[in-house]
Formats: sequence, structure tokens, C-alpha cells
Amino acid sequence: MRKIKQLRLSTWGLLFVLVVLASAVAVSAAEYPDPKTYLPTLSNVDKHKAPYDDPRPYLTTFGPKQVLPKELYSKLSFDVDAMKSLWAELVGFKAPDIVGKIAPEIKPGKYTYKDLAKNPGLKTLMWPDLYNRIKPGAPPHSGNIPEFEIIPTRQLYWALPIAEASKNNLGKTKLDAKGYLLGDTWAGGVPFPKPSGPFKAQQIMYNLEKRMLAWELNFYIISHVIGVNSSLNVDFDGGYDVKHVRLAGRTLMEPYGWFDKRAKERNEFKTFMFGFQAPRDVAGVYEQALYSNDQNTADQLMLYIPAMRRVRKMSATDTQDPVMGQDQIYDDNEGWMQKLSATRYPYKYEVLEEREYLVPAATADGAEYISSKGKEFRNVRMERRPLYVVKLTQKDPNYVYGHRIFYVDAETFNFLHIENYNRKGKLYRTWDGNYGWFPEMGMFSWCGSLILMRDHVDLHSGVQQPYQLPAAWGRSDMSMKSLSSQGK
Amino acid sequence: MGKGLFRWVVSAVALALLGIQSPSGAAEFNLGGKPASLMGYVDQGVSTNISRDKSFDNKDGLNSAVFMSLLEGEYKPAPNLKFFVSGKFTADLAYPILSSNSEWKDKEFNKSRGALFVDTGWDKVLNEAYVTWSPGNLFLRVGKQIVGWGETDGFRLMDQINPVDQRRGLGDVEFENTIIPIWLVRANYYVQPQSSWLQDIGLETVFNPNARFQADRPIDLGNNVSGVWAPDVQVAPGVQLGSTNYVNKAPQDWSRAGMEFGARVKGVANDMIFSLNYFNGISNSGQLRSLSGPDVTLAPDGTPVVHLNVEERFPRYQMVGATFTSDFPSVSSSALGGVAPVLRLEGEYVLNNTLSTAGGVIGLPFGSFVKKDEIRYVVGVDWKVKSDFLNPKAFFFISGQFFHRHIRDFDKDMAPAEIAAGMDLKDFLGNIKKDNYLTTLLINTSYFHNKLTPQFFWLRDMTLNGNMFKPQLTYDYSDKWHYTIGALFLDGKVPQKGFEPLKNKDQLFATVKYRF
Repeated sequence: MRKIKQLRLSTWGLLFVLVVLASAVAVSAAEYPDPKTYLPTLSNVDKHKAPYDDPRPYLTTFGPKQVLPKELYSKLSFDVDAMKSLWAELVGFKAPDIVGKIAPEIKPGKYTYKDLAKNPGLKTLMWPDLYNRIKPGAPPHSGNIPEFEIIPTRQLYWALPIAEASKNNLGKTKLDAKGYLLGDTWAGGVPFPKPSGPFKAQQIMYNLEKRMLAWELNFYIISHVIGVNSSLNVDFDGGYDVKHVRLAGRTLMEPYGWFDKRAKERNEFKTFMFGFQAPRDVAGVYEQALYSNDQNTADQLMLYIPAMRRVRKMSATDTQDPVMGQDQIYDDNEGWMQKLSATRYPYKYEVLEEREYLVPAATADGAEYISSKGKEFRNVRMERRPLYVVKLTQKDPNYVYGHRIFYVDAETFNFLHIENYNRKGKLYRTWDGNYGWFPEMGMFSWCGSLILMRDHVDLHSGVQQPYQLPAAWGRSDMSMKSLSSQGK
Repeated sequence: MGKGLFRWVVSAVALALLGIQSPSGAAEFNLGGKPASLMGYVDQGVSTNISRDKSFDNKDGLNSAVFMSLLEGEYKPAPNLKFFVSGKFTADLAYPILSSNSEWKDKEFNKSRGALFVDTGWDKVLNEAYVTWSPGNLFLRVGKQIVGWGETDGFRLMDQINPVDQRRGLGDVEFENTIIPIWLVRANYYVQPQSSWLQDIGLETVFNPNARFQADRPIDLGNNVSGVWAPDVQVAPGVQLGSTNYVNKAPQDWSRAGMEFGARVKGVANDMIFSLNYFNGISNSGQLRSLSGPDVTLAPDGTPVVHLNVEERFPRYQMVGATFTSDFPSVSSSALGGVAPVLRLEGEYVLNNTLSTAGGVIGLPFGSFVKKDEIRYVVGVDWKVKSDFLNPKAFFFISGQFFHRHIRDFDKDMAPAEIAAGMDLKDFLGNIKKDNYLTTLLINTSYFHNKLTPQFFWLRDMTLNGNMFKPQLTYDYSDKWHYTIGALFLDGKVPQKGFEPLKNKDQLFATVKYRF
């Protein structure tokens, strides 16, 4: 008996090792290259674009065209004229044709904050929060813009498959009697390219919710994120990365439609893995989230906490607390990630305005940068764009925000500026982003964009200039295994 | 300070300063064209005793000045291959500072210098060192590492793979720093089923080849061993129970007697995380059995000190258990902030666990070993709630846990006189009843944009009528600099049991932490 017991103990280890080593290494035979073969690290990105004081147009030398494997870039690039034509047909206009009516004396060219007084048209053209940022960097917030260049308005558009899906699915996406999406009626593409009718505001918001951004939300993003206090001293200098997969309504990258059988059965919308690389106290913290298409189904959230070496279940309903040291709550992730729901924190929706504004332009070269002194935004280009201004008034008196105002590009449905007000009507937090733009791909992302988050109550702000690429992730990249293996 | 200590402190500070140079504090660089990073921390803490009662086991004024530094490096030569190493240096500067203090010497705290002044020895300095290979669904990690099981916070149920180091006491000690990495082979295999209810499932196996046997490093008896954390146990009025003379029966390194194996299945089903666990290993804490009558010495201040003579064994520890955790959105209330509570359950059945008899009725303390099956479980709830009155900008995090440890056939090996006297069993030095209940409560929130975090922690020993209270306030000046002040209060109503022997350890503590 003793010999058998001893054998069992020592053989356990040997057998276990053999079983482990004999396990097949399962690497999916993907149609797309494994993202890990081409994604850069943060230090690689920093070589092409330093976090501060770097005006290099790095997207022309280190953008998707240069970094992606050629076959992947080809698959995601399309005929520009075809995209322009179809997109104009879908939205009913081309932006250059409908702007220039307000303050027509404001022409393309270079301007500084000193030109504001002699050009009152600039005040008319900018939303107030942006106008107030046109000045040198100074406390309490980062992200001031001391000078900028107005460029001619461009026609912007989405990738051809997205446009085709949007056209093929026109009229199929339905809203219920309260204006909420009947989840299984949306099959991909922009649900409402020409918002109209009594639920126009909600249609615009659903275009935001189902956003086509960043290769239909199939991406990898990596970035520094810098938190700045009211004296403009950096009090948070972190790095993060995100792997993201869209699970429903896929039109750009295979598999089209539903990502897999499970996504369809469970009505899953998207999943991502968010992780901090720095600072040390949060390095290795990874969050895995799974969002449902159904407004009434709770989302799922797990967190890997390296200090405990454990995966913890978190409640996905915890959306109103500030995210670790940043100037946003979880509902403000990506600018806005709150689910539109008739039951959980419902809103009243209204379109306040439809007009042109002068906005930070989408960047094709990534020449914009953050200055180390004053944390200014530099090399900023501005463009007249047709916008929808949508107000969401919160009906539940217990939500952290009383109302939100979205400034949404009417041609692309990218939100550019979000104002979040507390329940007393005081401006609480704002979000600003200008997007990276890749014309041959018909794609917007945050690659090279300048993102600004401001807390107007605590007088704190955060800035980042992410680097983002398309990526074809698998389920295993969004799993418990991935959660545990990334950290300590 | 010795040369070795001086070199370590200088190295730690230099590396910290190096960290200052990079924007994020951490050093990121390429090694052979592949990414590598270095990060770490330097902490300096102090504590002072604030107990009203002065006794042999406590000291006025400065009690500890723990300096702790850690440096960790990661290197990824391939997307699925990672090398990780961390080194830790810990020193309690109270020892050189108080070396000529008369109270420090009279109560023999100075004699614990060898154990607690500086953590030397490569097994204490080399913290973790492992390689991780994770292709596809496979995860293999080999080396000195920590494997965390279970769902409980503050105490460990199923989390028995790694031993713990509690020598620095219960003040401002980070949980991660108390877990002792050991040499393990860990292999996991995961699948993501195409199922509407089972979303993720993985098999984890852990093998400890016993390359270097490591037991818990507990708060032990005797000022000359545990310093200012030595418990106050008196065998008679004015007669202190001091350090123990151990005959150590730990397994030899690489011996089969010290090998351990664990396996668990962990998965996500219907958005709930569950695990089924099995562990066959060695008890991390020693179990004691008297060898002979005690010895007696006299401390410099004249206090008689009794020393037990015991053998210390590390018997086999085998358990099966399960965990479950889920949130319950239907229970959330928008008036409370709309966050659903998270329920954490953990339970295990321990087979033939070895304990000691407390003795003292018939025969010596730690008279004999007994084997008992046990049922242990924890129910925990985490809930974030909003109170605009108390904090209009952030939520309160509230976490409560209830723990029960039931010893089956408790009286079976006892004489009638022992049963009548209500004799306990002993788990190392701790007193164990038939049913043992603990509760914990943790509350924290943050103010001023997450800069100021007040926290309150309460652990109640319901069985032995004792409490630990730990209020603290942390100021995060930046992501690099953190400052903590706090207090620790311990009390117990049952003489010589539970928290009662630590009743004279009330303290104020403060720590400055630098991260890079």
C-alpha cells in the first residue's frame, strides 16, 4: 500500500507534465493574421510618436497601411469613389455641400487665440466649451488649443461593406412604441442613416450605440493615459491596452453577421479585454466585459486582480463610479457606453439642433500632439461639419447625471463632444475626441486622435493619443485564460 | 547598518530614482528587440504602540519601522512567452534604532533581531521567478510563483497552496506581501464552448515538487522570536509563555512527503463563476505535540518565561471544495446607486485534518495529534452603494463575510473530563472549538477625485468574543506617491484565546509608499 501511495504522489507530477506537454497547441486557423504577429508595443509606438511635443505625422509612416500585413490591409481597403457615392446616397448629402452657411467669412486658414476677438464668427461656429479652450495652456484643465488651422470640409464616409449593409438593411431596424430598439431587427450597418420621425433623437443614439468605429469595433488599442490636476501637474501616468471584438451585426470582417453560434444564441453584442500596463499599482489589472444586445439583459464583467492572483466577478451594473483615477465613469467609456434602456436609467431624447459647427477635424496623418508645457493640443486642424446636437434628459433622479448633450457628426454619426451635467444642472464631465481617418479604408478610429476628458467639478483632466489597429481576435483572447495569463 | 543592508537600500532607492526618469515611472525598454519592463516600489512604515496597559509583550513609543522594496521585471521574447522575476527586500529599522533602548532589551525584543531585522537568504530575497508559456488555450507556468484559489478576503479557506508570512503583524501590511511564493508547476487548459449557458471552462493543475519546503511564517510565541508582535500569554500570574523549542519534522526538500498536487475546474456558466477544487498537500502551518515538560528562563527584567518543548509536524492536508460567485442585478436599486450585489460562496470539506489537543485538563498542552474531518465555508457579499449625503461623488464599497468552521466528531478522542471541561483543539497556536465563527466587514469610499480613501475594516471572532478594528486613511498624491495613516485595535474577552493575547498591540501606523 505504501509503495502504491508513493508511486501515486510522484507519478501524479510526471503524468500531469506529460499530459500538459502532449496537449495540442490550438491556434485557430484564422482567415486573418494573428494580431500578435503585427501589433506594436507601447514603446514601439513611442518611437514613432512620443507622448509629448512630437509633431511627426506618424500615421503616414506607422499607420495601418505600413504596419498591417499587406493582405489584411487589402481586405480592409475599398474603392474610394464607390464609398463616397454610396455613402452620400445613404445619408442624403455630402458635407461640403451643406456647410459654409453660418459665419461664411470664416475661411480655411491658420488662426490663433488672438484672432477670436476680431472674428466673432468663430464664437458662432464653435460650441461654447470648445470656444473656451481656444487659448494657451493654463490651469485648471489640459487640452487648450492656442492655435489651429481650418481646413476645407471633406466628404467623410464609411467602408464599402458597412455602407452596403446599411443600404441592404434600410428599414429593417425597428423601434418599439417607446423608441427602443427591437434587438433582433438590427442585422448590421448603420441602423438609421437618415434619422427622422418622432424618434429621431433615439435613432441617432442607436447609430452611436451600434457604432462602426474602429473596424466595427474589431480592434486593438494601446495608449498612454495622462491625468492632470488643477495645477496642470501630472498625477496619473498610465498605459493601457484593449482587445475588442464585435459579436453581432458584423459586415466588415468575417465571420459576417454573428461572430459564432454562441453569440447568436445569447444575443451578444460585443466583448473586450481592457488592461492597465502602468502605473505599478494597477499594472496587470485586466477587465473582461461582455455586452448583450438586449437592453434588459445584464452584462458580464470579470476582473483579474494581480495582487490577489484571482479572477473576481464584478457587477456590470457598477457603471457610475469613476474609473481608476480617470475623469470618466464606466458609462463614459469610449466617450459613451451606457446602454439605451427603457427600464434602467431611461432618458428623454430630443434633437436640439441640426447645424454646422467648427470642430476638431479627423486626422489622417496624426500630426496633432500634446505639449509638455501647459498640456496644450497642438497642430490641431478644424473643419466645418454638419452636426446633430442631441440632449438626453435622465428620468431617474438617482443617476449621477441629470442630462447629457451629444454633438454628433451628421455624416458619420461619430460623436465629437459630450457634455455631462449633474443633477443640479452643473457641467460635470466632458469628453472630446477627433478620430483618426483612413480614407482608403473608409474608417474612423482613435488612432492618432487626441482625446480629452475633463472633470469640471473636481478640476481634473485626462488626455491621451491612442494607437489603434484592426485585429481579428478569437474567443480565447476574451476568456478567463486570457484574463489570467496577461497578469502576474 | 551592515554593508549588505546598506547596499540593498541604496540599490532600491537608485532603482526608484531610475523609475522617476520615465514618464510612467516604470522602465520600459527593448531587450534584443523584444519588450521588457521593470517596476517596483519602496515603502517605509512606522508604528507606535498606543495600548493603555503596559505589559511584557508591548513597548512604548516606536515599535516598528519596516522598510520594504520590491523590484519586478518582465520580459516577453515572444507573444506567448513571458519571463518574470521579482526580488524583495524587507528590513525593520526599529532594530538598529532601538538597539540601545533599555525597554527593548529588558523585554528581549532585541533577541528577535536575527529573525526580523533583515530578511536575508535567497528564498526571502528572490520573491518570484517563473516562465509562462501560453499558446492557444494552454497556460503553463513553471517557477517560483503564487497560485491564488478561493473567493475570500482577509482569511484563507481554499487558498492553501502558498504559505503566508505574518511576522510583520496586522498593521499596514499589503496582502500581496504576505503570500510566500513557492516553486510550482501550474498548467491550465481552457475552452470556450459554443454553448448558450457554459461560456468558459478550464482545468487547472498545480504540482509542487517540494523543491524547497516552505511553511507559514506566523506570529509565534516569544518576544525573542516575534518581537513586538509576540502574543501575551501567561501560564500563571507574572509568568510569561515565551518562545517555543521546536523539533522540526518538516519534509526534506524534494522528498515525496512534501509534494503537493491540486486540481480545479473553473468556469463561467450563465454569467456566474464557479469552481470545483481538490487539493492534496501539506499543512502550511505546523501542528505541535509536546515532547517533554517546559523549560523556564528569566528575562533581563526578571520576568519568568516558560518555553514549551514540542515537535512540529506538517501533516497531509486534503480537501475538496467549490466556489461560486455571481451578481444579482434584480436586487439592485437605483436609490442606492443601481449597483447589484455580488455574492461569493466558498466551501470545502477537509479530510482527516491533523490538529493537536489543547491539553491542560489531562496531560500536557499539545498532548497528542488527532485527525478530524472539517466543513468550512464562507458567505461573502460585496455591494457598492451611493449615499449622496455622505459622499455625493463616489460610491461606498461594502464587503461582508461570514465564516464557519465545523469540526466533525469533535469530542471523539477526548476523555470525559476533557469533554466536561470544554477542552479545545489546537491548530498551531490557535484555539479551535467544535464550531468556529468569524465575520468581517470592510467599508471604503473615496473623495477629491479618488485622492483620499478612508477605509474601515472589522474582523469579529464570534466564537472567542474578540475583535480587530482597523481604520485607515490613504492619500494618493499621485500614481507614484501614496501616504497612509491608520490605527489597529485588538481585543478579546476569552483569556489567552483568539485576539485576547494581542490585546496590548493597539497601534498607530503610517506608511509612505513610492511606486515606479
